[in-house]
Amino acid sequence: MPTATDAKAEVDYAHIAIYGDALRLQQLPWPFAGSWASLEWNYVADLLTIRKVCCAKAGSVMKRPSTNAARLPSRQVVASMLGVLCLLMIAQLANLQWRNAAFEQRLLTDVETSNERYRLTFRYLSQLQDIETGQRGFVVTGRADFLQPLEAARREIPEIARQLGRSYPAGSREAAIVADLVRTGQAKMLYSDRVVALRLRGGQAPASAVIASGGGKRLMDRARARAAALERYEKTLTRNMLMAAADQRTGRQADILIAEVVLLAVALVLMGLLASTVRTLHNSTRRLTDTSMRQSAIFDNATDAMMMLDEKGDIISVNAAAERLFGRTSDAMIGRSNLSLFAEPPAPEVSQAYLQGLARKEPWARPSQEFVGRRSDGTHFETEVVTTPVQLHESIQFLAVGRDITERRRVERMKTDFVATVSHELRTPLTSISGSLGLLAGGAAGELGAKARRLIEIALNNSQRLIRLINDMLDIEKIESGKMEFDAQDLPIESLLSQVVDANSGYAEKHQVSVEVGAVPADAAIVADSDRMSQVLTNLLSNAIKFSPVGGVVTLSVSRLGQRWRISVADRGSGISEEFRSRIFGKFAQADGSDSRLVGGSGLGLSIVKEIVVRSGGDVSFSSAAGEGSTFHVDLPAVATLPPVDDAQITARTKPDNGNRILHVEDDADMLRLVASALESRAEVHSTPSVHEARASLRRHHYDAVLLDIAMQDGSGLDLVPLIRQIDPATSIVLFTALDVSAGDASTVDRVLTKSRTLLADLANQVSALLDRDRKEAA
Amino acid sequence: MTRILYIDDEDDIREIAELSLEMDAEFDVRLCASGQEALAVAPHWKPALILLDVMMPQMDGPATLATLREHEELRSTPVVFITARTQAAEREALLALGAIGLIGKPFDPMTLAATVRDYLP
Repeated sequence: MPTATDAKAEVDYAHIAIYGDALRLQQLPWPFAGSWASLEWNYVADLLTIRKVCCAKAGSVMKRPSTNAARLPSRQVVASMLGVLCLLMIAQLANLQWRNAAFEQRLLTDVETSNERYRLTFRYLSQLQDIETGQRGFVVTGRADFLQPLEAARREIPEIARQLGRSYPAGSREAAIVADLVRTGQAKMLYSDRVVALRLRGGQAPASAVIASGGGKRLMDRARARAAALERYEKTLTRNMLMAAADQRTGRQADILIAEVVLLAVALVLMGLLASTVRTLHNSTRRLTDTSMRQSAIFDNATDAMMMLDEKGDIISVNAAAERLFGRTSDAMIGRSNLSLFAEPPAPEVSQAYLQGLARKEPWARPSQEFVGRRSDGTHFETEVVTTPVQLHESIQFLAVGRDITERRRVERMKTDFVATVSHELRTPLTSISGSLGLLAGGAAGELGAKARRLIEIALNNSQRLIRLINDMLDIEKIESGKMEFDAQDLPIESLLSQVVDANSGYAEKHQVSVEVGAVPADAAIVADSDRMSQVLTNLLSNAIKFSPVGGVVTLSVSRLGQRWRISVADRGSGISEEFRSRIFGKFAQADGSDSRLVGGSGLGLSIVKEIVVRSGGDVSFSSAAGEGSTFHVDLPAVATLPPVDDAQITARTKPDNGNRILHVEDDADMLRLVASALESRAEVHSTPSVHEARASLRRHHYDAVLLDIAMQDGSGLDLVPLIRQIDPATSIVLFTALDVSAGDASTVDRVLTKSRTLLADLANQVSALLDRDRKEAA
Repeated sequence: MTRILYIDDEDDIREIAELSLEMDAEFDVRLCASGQEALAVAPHWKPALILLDVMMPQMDGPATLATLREHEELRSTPVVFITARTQAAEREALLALGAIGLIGKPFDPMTLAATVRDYLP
């Protein structure tokens, strides 16, 4: 999906300055890079189209709403992280426990080893003591059984000595003590042997003398001291080990406790989070269900027909009202294309393009459409449908809401017919009345006596007054019901005034009043309906004439008032009284009718004038004083003087001999320049950037050919086709667009040219051919 | 003598129109009360100009015009509509049907003949 930056980059790259700056062109990336000369015009058109699309895309990308689903994932992420943390904590805890156990085990082993060494030492010592005891016993008794411990000890000692020797690391102090102990032991054994041998040979006395010399005792003492040293070492070692272990145990247990607490805490948070997530999900589900039920209730019970369409335009669901409207069951509608509901379905491509246009919010895709629907029994009815796109996460659907407007249209037609009928019914007898009276007064039935003529004149005048009254009433009704058409055009004031004055010259003469028109600037023009303005000015002028004294003068003048022109009608009559002023524009308002000449209008004239002027975008006002005459002012919007010269609007280039004039309607300024340039040698080209301005141009000038873009900011070029045909059916219309054109639309114009496929030179040739053909036909 | 055919469902108006048109001595006026009657008369009588009321029951002015035009002899006969309708769009629509002009109702009986004379080639 392109980001806004991508789109903008594309836009920047695709920008071309048409008239010059080949350097910028060379900066275009592949595949557009290349020299100016090798670039073909159709690439240019392509790029302009791309730029349009990119601008639209960039706009839509930047406006794309961010989805609200972001909250849940972050919660999931946190929960996952906490879960992992929990697992890590558990692992750590297990690790600590295991290490703790291992340590304790090691401690036991070490203590055991120490004890073992300790016991070895004392076994050794006790062996020596056995030797000592045995030796002494033998020396005293001479009995051989006392020698048994010596023999036993002799057998045991080497093994014990060996084990002892292995118990301590070589070179350590304790190993040295052990070595000394063993040496002492060996010395003691030698000594005992000597003593025993002495007793055997010499008897008790020499043996006792040796014993008394204390050598044996000294050896034993030494051995005992060494053993004691080793004992002290082992005891200290053990004590240290146990103390160290005790210290470490505290720390380790603290670690374990902390780990357990942290784990507990994390687990609690995690559970809390999970609980909260579950609760949120539950709430969301409940809310969703509620919303869904509410929506279903609205959908099902709405009085307007509602349908959901998928992006192809096929029907997904319908409500009961839709079933009633189209006279079909939902089963018969679901799955079918929405085109099956039309009495005269448009082409599938047109419908598809419309839906796509709606989805992209193109200005030409209007949500509200009227068409003729078809029920299952074949009957037709008129319906108005409003279609809106519904953007889901992964797809787009359309909601179509429609209602049967057959009744509404019927009533409208009845009202229109009513006005027409009343108009006809009232005017018919009046025609007969005024007709026969007119003939009589004109002498068609022979000469009349003076009295007869006078009576007939009275009857005739009043029948004509009745006619005016009916016309006025119908006008008011038309205006107020919005049925009066205002066909706004550029109206030059000078010709309008002269026409109105001419039309009322007879009336002015009859009242012996003269009408003067002040200076009117030649370019003064208003935007208004010419018939309506004639009606307004005629009304004001005839009033002014009516209220002028015999021989008086009525003056018409024109002045500029900001963006408007003011047309003033001034009389020198008796003026308007104070109390009448406030009622003057009201219906059936007539001043006190004591002067019979003042009575004669329908009382509706000024009311109609005001309605027309206000609906034409203007104002009506007056100034008057009793006895000094009155001036009525009508302010109307002025035609804008020459539109600001804008790069996109190039008016006439050199006027070619054949005098052809072409209007090009296109909202892309560069394309306007390109085409104007391509066509300049063959015709006078007017370029306008919008449908609205095109309408104004069409009224101002006659065109031999019109080139239309379709998709523009303020509407479709196709909207102009009926107007162009109405102005002059002979004008050639060419669609010059990037979009595909339906067969139906193509048949309303003379040629369809696709922007990206038509070289501009070719465009120029085709337009020329059309113009030549038209000229030949006209000749 | 120039033949003028006047078609209108209103008796009084027909009478006035006849009196009015006959003020021009050159005019030979014939009256029809309906589109159907006109269809029976016009192809044989071949008027130089047809004045046709718009609002008539059963077969209105435009329908009558369309049916008259089906006759070879009346293809190019000038037709002028007589109508009370005054909206610009309605008038344009009527002209678009092929009439060469419109005369508004009520018409001035004193000038009707002259107006018709102006419409004649």
